[in-house]
Amino acid sequence: MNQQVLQQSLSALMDNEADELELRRVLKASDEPEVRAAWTRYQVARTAMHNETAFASVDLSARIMAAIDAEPALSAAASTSGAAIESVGTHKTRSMPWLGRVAVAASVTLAVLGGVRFYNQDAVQQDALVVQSEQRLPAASPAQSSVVLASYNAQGQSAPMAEVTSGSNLWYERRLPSYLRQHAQQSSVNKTEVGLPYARAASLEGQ
Amino acid sequence: MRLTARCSVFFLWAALGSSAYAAQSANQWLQRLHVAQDTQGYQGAFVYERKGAFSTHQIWRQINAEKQVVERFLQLNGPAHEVMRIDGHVTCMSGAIANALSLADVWPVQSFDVQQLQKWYEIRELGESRVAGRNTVALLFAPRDQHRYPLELHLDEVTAIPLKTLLLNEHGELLERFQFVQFNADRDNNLRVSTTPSIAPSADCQTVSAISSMSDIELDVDWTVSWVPPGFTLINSHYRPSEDGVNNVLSQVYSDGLAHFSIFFERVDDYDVESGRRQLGPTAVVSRRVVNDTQQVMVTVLGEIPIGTAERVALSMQFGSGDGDD
Repeated sequence: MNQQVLQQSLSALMDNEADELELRRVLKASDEPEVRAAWTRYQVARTAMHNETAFASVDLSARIMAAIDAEPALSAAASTSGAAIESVGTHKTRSMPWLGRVAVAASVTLAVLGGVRFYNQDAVQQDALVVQSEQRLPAASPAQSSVVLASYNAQGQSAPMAEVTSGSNLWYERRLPSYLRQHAQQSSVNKTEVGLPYARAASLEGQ
Repeated sequence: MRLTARCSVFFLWAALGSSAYAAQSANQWLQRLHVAQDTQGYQGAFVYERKGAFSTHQIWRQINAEKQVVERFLQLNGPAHEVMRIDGHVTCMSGAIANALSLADVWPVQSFDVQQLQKWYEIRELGESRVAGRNTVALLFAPRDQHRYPLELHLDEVTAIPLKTLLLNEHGELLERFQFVQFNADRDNNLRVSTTPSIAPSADCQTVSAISSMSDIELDVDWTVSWVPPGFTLINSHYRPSEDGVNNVLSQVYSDGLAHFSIFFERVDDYDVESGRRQLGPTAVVSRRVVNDTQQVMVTVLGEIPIGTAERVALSMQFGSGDGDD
């Protein structure tokens, strides 16, 4: 029963519809391997359903947790908050600093795991040229791109591109925009698409 | 038993009848569209979306006293790109869009030949839909070969004006979206012409004569491609200096009536460029460096066609019978 409720909360969180209670429930259980596995599974399923680029199933939480542990400022803050709580009540004194830290770590984990997807989307939006070409290039296998994570995404994908075309970059940068514009403007207009060629041409300006 | 037989005959008849009806109905819609585009005035706002771009635009369209179609486009977000078109000819353009291109060539009007289109696309009616608060009919242009993309067209039930156009790839994924969010059709055009103020461009819209247009120079090269996908015909060819004036560029535009691709040929003796492929939203770009004894030419095929097809066109580039001339 409890497990089922948890799964529902997890699902709600993924759909960005979790309320405060559900969020707490998930965060509380976020140390359990089953929950983490379920979260990853949901993400993969969601990625597949949205036809997006492969989802990287890398869990950074351990390293982030370690980094947070190593952070002196945060542990100091945690202990002071613990001290503050101690003065208020005696019941929660032991669990609170620990829970606070786990909550921070867990929320970061969730943010990172979720963020991969959102960031990916942004990167695709902003850098359609590079990302798209990478997807289509035979050299870039899906396995390679799937280990590229979060903020490394844009750089990681553009780097090999830059290597491949370093000599050609200048030529491409100078020619491609002009070619694209000319193509958009020279395309003929037929009855089915009155505004489309114009919108295409306009969208290429200032890129 | 007899009932079953009768039922199956009925369903067979219904299935055959409905498919024939669907094809006929799609044709009727296309005929209506054909007429509507010359006679229907409207005003509306639409969105344009592809990977890496999302923009909003306003369109005004009127039929003037001389029965000419007057159109004005204005981008609503970001830079206020503007274009005026009268009777299919661009009369003014905002400076940002206008470039060295000769404006006489911008968006040439192509006749809409349903018969020709049906050779390369199967046109089906998908059903009813709703766009911009209006009832629409969805038509699918399904390609008959792998050299073009499917297109989904949603026509307004009242006016037969396309309110939504979706370009899909071979996997049915969305490549490009054009969709009205608000649409007002003129009821009676003759009436509207007299009552509504005529469409006027803004001060930023440069008239065509003010923009330097570039004329062709004499063709002194023999670059050509030996293969284009069936159904694509040459609609435009120019040989002009490039924008930076370094080299001359031969550009050709091909179309099958719906899809377009352009081929650009340019000498690249001075550059160290390599062949490459890119996909920019709906547009495939394939560049290939072709070398013969005397020259190195970069051929770039660019268009809303599958990248494999673009590649095949680029691979078929060859020097004509004469072997270069310099």
